[in-house]
Amino acid sequence: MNGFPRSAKRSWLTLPRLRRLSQALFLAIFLVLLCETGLRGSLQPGELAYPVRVFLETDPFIAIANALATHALYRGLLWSLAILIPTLFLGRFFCGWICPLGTLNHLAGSIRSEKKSGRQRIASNRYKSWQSFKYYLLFALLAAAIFGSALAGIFDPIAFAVRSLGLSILPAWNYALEALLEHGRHGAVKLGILLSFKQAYFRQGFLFGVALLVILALNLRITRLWCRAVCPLGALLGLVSRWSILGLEKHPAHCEDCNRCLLDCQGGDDPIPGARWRKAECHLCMNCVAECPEGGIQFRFFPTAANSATMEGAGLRRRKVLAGLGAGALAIPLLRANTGLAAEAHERLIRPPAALDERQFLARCIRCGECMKACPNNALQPAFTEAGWEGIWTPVLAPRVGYCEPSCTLCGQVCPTGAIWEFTSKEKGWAGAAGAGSGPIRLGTAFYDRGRCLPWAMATDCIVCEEWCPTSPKAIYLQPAEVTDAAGNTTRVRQPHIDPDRCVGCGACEFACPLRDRPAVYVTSAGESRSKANQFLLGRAPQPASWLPESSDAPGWTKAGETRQFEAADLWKYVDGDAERYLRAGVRRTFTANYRYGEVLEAVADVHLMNAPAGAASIFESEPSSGSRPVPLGDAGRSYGQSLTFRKGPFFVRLTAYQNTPETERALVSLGQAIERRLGRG
Amino acid sequence: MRIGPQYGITRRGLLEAGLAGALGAKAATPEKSRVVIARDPGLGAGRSPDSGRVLKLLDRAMQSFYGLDSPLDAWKKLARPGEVVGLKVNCLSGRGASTNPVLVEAICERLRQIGIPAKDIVIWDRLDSDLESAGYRVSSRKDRIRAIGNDTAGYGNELAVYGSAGSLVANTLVRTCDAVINLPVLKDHGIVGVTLALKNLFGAIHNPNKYHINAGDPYVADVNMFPAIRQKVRLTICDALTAQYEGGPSYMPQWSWPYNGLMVGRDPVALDYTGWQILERKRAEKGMKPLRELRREPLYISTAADARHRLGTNDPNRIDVVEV
Repeated sequence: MNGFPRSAKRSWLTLPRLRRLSQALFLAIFLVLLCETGLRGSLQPGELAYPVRVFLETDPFIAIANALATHALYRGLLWSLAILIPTLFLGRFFCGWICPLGTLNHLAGSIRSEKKSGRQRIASNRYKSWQSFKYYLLFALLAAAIFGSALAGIFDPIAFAVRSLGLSILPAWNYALEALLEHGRHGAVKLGILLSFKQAYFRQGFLFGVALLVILALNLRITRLWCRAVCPLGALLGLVSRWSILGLEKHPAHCEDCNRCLLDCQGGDDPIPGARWRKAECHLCMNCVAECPEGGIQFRFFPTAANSATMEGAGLRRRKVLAGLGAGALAIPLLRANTGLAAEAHERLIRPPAALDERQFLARCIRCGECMKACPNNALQPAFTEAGWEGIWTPVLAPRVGYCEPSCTLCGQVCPTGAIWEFTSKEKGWAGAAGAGSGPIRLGTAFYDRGRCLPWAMATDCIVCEEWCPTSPKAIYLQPAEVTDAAGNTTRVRQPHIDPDRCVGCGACEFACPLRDRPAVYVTSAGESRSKANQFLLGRAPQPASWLPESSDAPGWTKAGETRQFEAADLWKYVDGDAERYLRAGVRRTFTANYRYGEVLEAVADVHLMNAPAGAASIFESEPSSGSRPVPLGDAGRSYGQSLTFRKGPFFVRLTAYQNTPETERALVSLGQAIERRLGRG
Repeated sequence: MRIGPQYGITRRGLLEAGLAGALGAKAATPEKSRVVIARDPGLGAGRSPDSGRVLKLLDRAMQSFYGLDSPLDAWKKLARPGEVVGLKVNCLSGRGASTNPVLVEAICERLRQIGIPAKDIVIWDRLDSDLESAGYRVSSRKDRIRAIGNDTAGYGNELAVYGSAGSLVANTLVRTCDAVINLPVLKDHGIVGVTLALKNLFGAIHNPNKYHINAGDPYVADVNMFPAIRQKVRLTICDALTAQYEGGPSYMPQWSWPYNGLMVGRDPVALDYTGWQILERKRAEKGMKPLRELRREPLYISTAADARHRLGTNDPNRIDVVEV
């Protein structure tokens, strides 16, 4: 068959209409998920009703950059194959049919513009050599990823859209809507999804919003300029589409040189007969096919050899590819030779809970802003220079704006790359020490500016920070002190102090401090648990594992599960009813772990750390000794056969077996000896 | 009603009839609270008793309590298909002194046999970790028997208040369950004396730690007055397979003994009083002081029986203890 004769009667369901439907559908899904990225009634893991990070997880550019930077692929990013594999066969269908930023650009590009009419419009849609810039940018970003930096996220279209819309446009929309409702005396009306439960504010939000608006405005001059010239994801998909079996067949004999195929071309890929079709640039928008009055162009699987010969790939030049790779490779040493990462880390570089160590974090964080959008207290903000230039727009905690909610885990739930691992509130360990294992996740530590704090500097009582402190027991404690006021009178006030063992750096104290401009209590990253280097106390918190032996230290015994730790105030959660006895004796903390001996014997070991040896002695002596025999453990020890107690200094230890076998007593003594050796080190 | 000779009712007649009725009511013997104690000396309690023998022991106790020949008929008196039945276990003390999973399995088996599907049976206590440490597999899937802690299920938003107690009550009790079977363990308690049917419901509130002062009196009784607890707890089956007379509520094997029994009762006060006496007898046998001398006599039991609470009786003459 020669040419592509058009049918006399055209179907309503044309490919461009199908494409528009697809674009509308995916844009709507994207916006709904973005609106749903946040608190929706529960802070518990798995409670987000929708897969809010799905667009980022299916982004092949993010996946490849993440894999290059970390030498592993974060689990959710495997979904990117759902885009990558079809692209191998179809070409850049994602750009034309799915990409939400592409759709916004498409919409903006459809607006009539004086700068884009008639000949100018046709000329603007011809292929331009500058369109290859995106490939060089892609190579530069991939090279940066190889050097361990996730700068890719700055230019990734999905991350860009989430960041701009989530941190700027949606908050601005919310602000405007609230203002309108207030103005219209309907302030009480809440429009559900249209309004956030709380107005969010973001640093540099204006910049993100303007960046998006500028990119959209550029469409008035050149259709989808971002997609054609900048988008690294589009470049990646363009490269992959080299092997696509779907191609554009042209029939020059039918062409009347009307150029209508160029009127609405989105990719600038030269669909016009007589020119080489740029396969890697085509977004498969199908406008050219629909516009051609003669049916002279058509998409076909396995196009004829004659047509294949007129196709062009990305048209890369080796020298420029090498230049792109070199630029990316050079950028990272340049950025890291600055202070900020290896030296002189910023004191306010307070990362979200469960963030990885800084180097790993920078290798994974794509600056999408999902965590910031999700944070119910608006506490996470895009960094500017806190993390050096390389860490721009990565999340940092800004306690003056908001504090980290103790039971919240949303940032971990929404992070698509594992820069913040998916943690539970139990692992966070702020809402109660039970199950905390190796202690709570610390973001930093609070410090007082005694020159500004009311009880310290102005002889005025103020306990706001202590009241807000969410840890249990509180990390801020008050000590009565006699001070002299301005009139020379001696007065008693309660002065706040920080217990660094208990402070988790949540920022609640700084947030609540009544000095609104520069607070009298502030949080810095010192002591953050993600960093081994940023520690300032040798034994900041007792490590329970050091007192309860691992399997190898106690012959025959195997430790079953994690050590659990309970603060004095939470001891009732472990032994409700028995806790008072220990509290009266001055218990500070209790550690417990289960053990197994051989096939049949199981036991539980409890180590109670008291304030003083007298406390351990009082517990020990308060228990009836009838039926027991002394054992040489610690300062004093008793064996009841199936259970054993001993005390050593401020420690009271109880071992209880669940089975009474001939070996039970001997085995318990052996476990007791292993614990006693460790208490000696403590 | 009109009074007058023309209506056949005279004022004198009416007074006489009323007086006779009142006297008759007073003269009638009040119904005794029944507490069934079923024991199987050969059970070999421990934590892994023979499940078949436990089931038979349970059947014996239930049949005796309801006075029926068939165990299933007895269970049908307790719940019916369509209801969600909660099993309030006591798991605070790990596997040593918690409600035995073998007993709970036997109860679940009987509930399923009377037509209550697995999805309508909920095993619950305060914390998931408590349930796990006692040998229950935590699961909130609704296609099987659920085992869930209050820390996961949460607490209701409305504060329940009675007397000196004010608490949020577990969602599992308030929202999920239509009926609850209370499954405490027969054991000593270092502060409130004993922990049985009444005290086990501390596991239904968010702040039990606040109510141990003054040996739990009147708090234990007050908590049991919360409407959700009064309305939904239908029966207590006390796990006395292994009992503990000292050192509770934590597991102290040196003060535990195999009682090899189950206690069943609808009156929690009567059951608590009976269980308390069992523990006191064992303490005396072991040469230990009675709880009164240790200032932890469970006075909350008599408070629960007083005119203000009327949760049951602690009068031994009004408790019908049946040993089978």
